[in-house]
Amino acid sequence: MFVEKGANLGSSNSLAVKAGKFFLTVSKRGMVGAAILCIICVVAIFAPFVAPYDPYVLGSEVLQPPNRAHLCGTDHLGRDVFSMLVYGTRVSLIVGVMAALISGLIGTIAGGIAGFFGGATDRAISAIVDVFLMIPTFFLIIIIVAMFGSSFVNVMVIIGLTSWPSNARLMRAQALSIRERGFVVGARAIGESGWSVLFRHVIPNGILPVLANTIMQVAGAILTEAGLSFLGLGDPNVISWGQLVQVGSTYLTSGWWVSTFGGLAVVLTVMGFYLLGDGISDVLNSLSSGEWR
Amino acid sequence: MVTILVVLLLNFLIIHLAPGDPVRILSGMDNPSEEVMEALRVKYGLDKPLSVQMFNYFAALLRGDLGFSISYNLPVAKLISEKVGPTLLLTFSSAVIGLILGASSALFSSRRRVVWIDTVLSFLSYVFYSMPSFWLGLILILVFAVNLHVFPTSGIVSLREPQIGIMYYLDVLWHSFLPVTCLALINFPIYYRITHSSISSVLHENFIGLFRATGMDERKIFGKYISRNAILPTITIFGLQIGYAVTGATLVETVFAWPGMGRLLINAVFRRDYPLLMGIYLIMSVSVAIAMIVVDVLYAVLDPRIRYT
Repeated sequence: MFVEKGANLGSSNSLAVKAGKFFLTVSKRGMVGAAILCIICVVAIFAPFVAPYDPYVLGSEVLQPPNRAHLCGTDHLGRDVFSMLVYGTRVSLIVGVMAALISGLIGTIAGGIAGFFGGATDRAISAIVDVFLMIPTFFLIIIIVAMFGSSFVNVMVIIGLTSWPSNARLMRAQALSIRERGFVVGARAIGESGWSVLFRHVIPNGILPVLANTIMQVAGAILTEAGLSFLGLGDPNVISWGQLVQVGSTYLTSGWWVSTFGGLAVVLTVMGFYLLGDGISDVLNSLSSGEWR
Repeated sequence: MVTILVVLLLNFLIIHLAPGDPVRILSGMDNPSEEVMEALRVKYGLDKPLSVQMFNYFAALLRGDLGFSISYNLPVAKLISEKVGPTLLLTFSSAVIGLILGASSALFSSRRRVVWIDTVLSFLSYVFYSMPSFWLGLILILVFAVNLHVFPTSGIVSLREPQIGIMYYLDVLWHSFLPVTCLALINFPIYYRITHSSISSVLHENFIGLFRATGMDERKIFGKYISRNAILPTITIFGLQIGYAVTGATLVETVFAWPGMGRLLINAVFRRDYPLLMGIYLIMSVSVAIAMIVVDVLYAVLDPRIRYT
């Protein structure tokens, strides 16, 4: 694989440009994912300008097939499907990113503590992780959402709270190896407290694999949210892609476009996150195999 | 064994601490009188303290009694045994087909090393990996059932013209084609990705280079050494999937109106049917535990480096 060597390091290229070039040479799929996600983020941020109609306003033209006025047709209440897709981007991204952040935060801290301090703490945390990994999370989420209500915030917190164990496992493994390294032993030797070493040295140095996994979890969270909405367990007050698929499934024979475009949006976004996550893993692998100096 | 107990305990607590009163739903009235509610509570043992309910439940479990479903008015064991067949038919066959599709295409693409085949396969694996299963189901229904009329939209048998004998099995097969295809396609990228990445890590091992250097037949290297080493992680994933297979695939079962465990679970959730939920969870945790043991044993058989003493 072609990688720029150190000769360039002193040139006027900024670090960001170099990082970008490096990313592109190491992982094309990562760049594709990043590009998809950039477009989707722009759509989400500028939703009111992108969407031609207000997605919450009901119209008289019900179940119109895709045409010039309505790019993706209209649903059974006369709402413009394209505008609903555009606004749905916000919901999916917020749920996905927030859930993954919660999971990443808990997983990093729990895994870091378990791996760094070891002993009884480690055994306790590992036991909890094992139990969580045995339960099919989707069922747990269904049950909790059904019992505690399906507001937008609930859904994202519950997804976050049930998906942290894989992050904890990764961070624990990282902490186990990092705590034996020279700089950690040195920091302890000059009298830094355990917690300070954990948060200032161990976690920052071991965070990258967790980051790659967390980005993958955004994709998983978006799929889970879509699934919940499809089962009728999503927030009924906000427009989401899963809800669109569910609404459309009733009108499959008379309006195929409602479900079809809702699902396509999910596929595209989720694929963007998977590609980016794999891209980061590619970068990590080539870093650890020493191709970049 | 301890894990199973912890899982059960957790579920018991989560389910029972949740808001929502099953008695209210059970009574079938919007505002049931206090006497009716009280009588129902006593009947189902819901008036006792939580610890007593828990003790009673575990005591019954030891006798092999899974309890009595509140909403279906049938023993939980009977309900589960009715639904487990269709679910296993769906999940097991799609896991096997997904495994064969994924593992063999990964083997094929790494063996041939033709760039476009590799690109197409990994593109497909990304697409299906990102696809919500329920949406794929709907699209299959749209194309093959609604437009082409070659497969039925839902159910497991034809209700209008019940079949008998061999025709019955063909009918089931015909109905299961779309849901099994759907789940198999969703499973395909899981196996493709894991097999593909483990093959490429084995390819760089020194012993493979040694075999090549000795002039060993490429087919033998692949068939005997690479695939055997690369299949191990795939087997782990397969085992876990089989463990979860009992719980069914809620979303796909919902789309195809498949009478399986997934839908039973959803109904139990919506109706606050505690005993049924607990029963499903028990079966699930036991099957996952068994699957893990089976995977460990398989590992020992397939990988001579691992021997249990």
